[in-house]
Amino acid sequence: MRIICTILFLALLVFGVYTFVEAPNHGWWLPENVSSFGPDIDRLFNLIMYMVGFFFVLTEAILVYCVFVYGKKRTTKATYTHGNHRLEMLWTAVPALLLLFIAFSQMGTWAEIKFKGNRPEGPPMAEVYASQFDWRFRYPGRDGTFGTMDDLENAFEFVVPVDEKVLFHLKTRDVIHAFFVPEFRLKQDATPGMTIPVWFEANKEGTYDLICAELCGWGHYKMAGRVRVVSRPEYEAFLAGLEEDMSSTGMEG
Amino acid sequence: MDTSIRRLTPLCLAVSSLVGCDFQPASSPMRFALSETTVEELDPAQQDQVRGALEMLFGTPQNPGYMLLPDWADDSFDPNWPTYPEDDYGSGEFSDDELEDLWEDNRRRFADQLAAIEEGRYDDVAYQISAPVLNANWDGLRADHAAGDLSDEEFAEEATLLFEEYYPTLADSAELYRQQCLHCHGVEGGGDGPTAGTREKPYLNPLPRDYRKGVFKYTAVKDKAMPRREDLYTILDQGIYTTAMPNFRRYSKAERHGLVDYVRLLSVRGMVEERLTLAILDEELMTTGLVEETFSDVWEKWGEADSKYISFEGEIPDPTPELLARGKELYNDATTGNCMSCHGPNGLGDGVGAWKVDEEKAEKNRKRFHHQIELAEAGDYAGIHEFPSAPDLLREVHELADDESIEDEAERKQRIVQAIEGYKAMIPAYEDDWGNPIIPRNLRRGIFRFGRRPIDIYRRVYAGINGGPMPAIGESRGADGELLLSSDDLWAIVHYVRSLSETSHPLVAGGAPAPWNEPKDDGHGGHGGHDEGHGDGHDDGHDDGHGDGSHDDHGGHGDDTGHDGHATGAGH
Repeated sequence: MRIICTILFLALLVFGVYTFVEAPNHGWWLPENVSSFGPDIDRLFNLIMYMVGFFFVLTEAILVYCVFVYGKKRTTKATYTHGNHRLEMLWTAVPALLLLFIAFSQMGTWAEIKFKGNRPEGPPMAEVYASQFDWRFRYPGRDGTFGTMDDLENAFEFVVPVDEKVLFHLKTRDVIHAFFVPEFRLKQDATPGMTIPVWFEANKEGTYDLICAELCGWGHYKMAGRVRVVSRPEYEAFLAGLEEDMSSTGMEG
Repeated sequence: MDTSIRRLTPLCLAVSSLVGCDFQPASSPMRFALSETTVEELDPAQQDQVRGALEMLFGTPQNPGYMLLPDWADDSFDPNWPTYPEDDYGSGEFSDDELEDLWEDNRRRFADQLAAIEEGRYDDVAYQISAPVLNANWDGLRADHAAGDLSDEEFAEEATLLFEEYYPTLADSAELYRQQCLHCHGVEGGGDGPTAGTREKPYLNPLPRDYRKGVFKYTAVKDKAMPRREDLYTILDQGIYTTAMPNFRRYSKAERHGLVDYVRLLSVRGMVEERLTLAILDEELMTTGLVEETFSDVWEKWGEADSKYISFEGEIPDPTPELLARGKELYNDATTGNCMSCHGPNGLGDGVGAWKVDEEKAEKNRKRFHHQIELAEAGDYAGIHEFPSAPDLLREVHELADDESIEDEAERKQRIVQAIEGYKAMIPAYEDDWGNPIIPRNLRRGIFRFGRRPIDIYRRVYAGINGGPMPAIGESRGADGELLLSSDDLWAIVHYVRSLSETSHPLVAGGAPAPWNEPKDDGHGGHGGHDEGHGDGHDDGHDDGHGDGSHDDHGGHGDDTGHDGHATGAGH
């Protein structure tokens, strides 16, 4: 039994580490980053992952060792101990310090992504409406204001210009949803009754999956969208296309 | 020994989860079920006749397909192949440009497969989870290649074409339908899938469409004709906003058109079933001739959709203030537009025509407020000091009591009593063809289920909504036979309706403001969502209004705003 358990826990350790070493070779890793603040997020991700990974290996190794060494049938009576005050201090203080370290090292990134002071100036480029189980993207039209008759709306696909700070207002029409674009390293809940300013800057043209990252009902898995990052002229052509569609008289199709 | 085996359980579980399970339940052939009406009305032998006829015409869920009518075979027409020309064993529903558009989309959809084929990595070509026929064709090609029947170049060319010019067969579409649509729309398209719930206990509001009746709400055609292919496609492309029907744009255009084909098959099948059942009840003999004739009739009914298409020649007039004022006039005019009778004078969906008093609740009100009603009937309005836990009712009663526009005292009394009796007791007056209570759209929310483009709203005003009380006023004529509304009038109504959802339109701002429309001094002149303050206000409006929209339970007033507006008008 001792041997089986030792092998089991050792296997867990080996398998855990192996997963992380092998995953990138299969494309099971963070998707390509295309966002201006993506590198900071990745740095924090790696920092925390290595930290946690180190302690995973450490504690798992101790566990395997203990199971192997102390798992034998006992012949002597167990001793009773009150514990070791110093040791307890140590394993309280070290994690506390580490948590503090993480807390401080992420503050700059958090501020850049969420603080009002770093919000791009000017009106939002779009309003993003989440609803069960749909994404809608509303642009203000030529007058630059939302809630007017020339607003333009697109379902499914959010088209934004490349290399520009894009500010949008995130809203939901029903329950809590979350706007998540893995390539942007951007995830933001949409909360009923709130208008949430969100911004990002995508640095590479392409099409990226937008998914709802908050279980929002039975159709959650269907709630997919797409973010298409295009050049400025293409973006304007897209808006012009929406505008043309608005003035459709049905004669063309 | 026992304990060590028990302790191995986690290991076994872990191993089995890694290996994955290959367990397949014994599959029996799937069949379409008959509708409730058919089952209720016909005896088992007759049911078998109907089932047999339907399976002959439309196949089974796993192997669907139209039977060819004799004259179709003569004309080389085949509805099972919509991409082929009409005289070449297809039904020719796509122009060359449209086909090229589909193939272009396929090149994006199957980019991985096409790249793998080009580089000769044939083993990397992934199977499609929802396209058994495509997978089988791919296997077939590979087998031919392996057997040497196809040279390498031929194989590469055929394989590229297979994916590039992929248009799902009905069997492939049926598989995709089973994966993505069936859970709400049901095997037969009856709108009775497990995630939809039932009429008695609905999980969704509104419930999914019952295709079998052949009535579709959101079409671009008039005269209650069948929808065009494009109309059904639009639903898959855009979804029906604020209902549980999402868009399916993550599937390729060809796949979505394939789903349209399958939905049409289900609808045609349901309509044929209904007619056959009626024919049997009329004691007609079930002959091949009758079955073919019925099918042919239904198919032709679908075929006439294109000739009923609503479009508008010329430019859409600009929404000038004059046009909007004209629109407002028509909207409120009982003899022409008459929109306000259901959508309410402020577009909140609270028009008197759409709501009625629920007698049970009115009776409760009579008991609860009997003292106040006595006072009102005695004409002592000032003596009514309070309505326990209904302060808004008190305000309303006093407003009515002080309303100088009411000249007849008897009418005033009647309206006050009705307001008290009808307090929070209003239920929708109409039902649609499927038995759902009709709550008129709150036009202030700016949510239009078939689309928010002017032409979409024009079509709704012009042709109404199938299966519901929304009338087609585009072609309504007066006593003299003249059209009541010119096209400019229609556009005036359309633009006025669109302007109702603006946050800061002068006409709206000048009328009774919705609660979220209160002017806020935010330094932007009350315009747009430039800052959070205003944006919040806008959003609250949407949320308030939501109650009387899609997710509300049966009827009832979604919110107090709706109720206020309604009860005031209820006295008429």
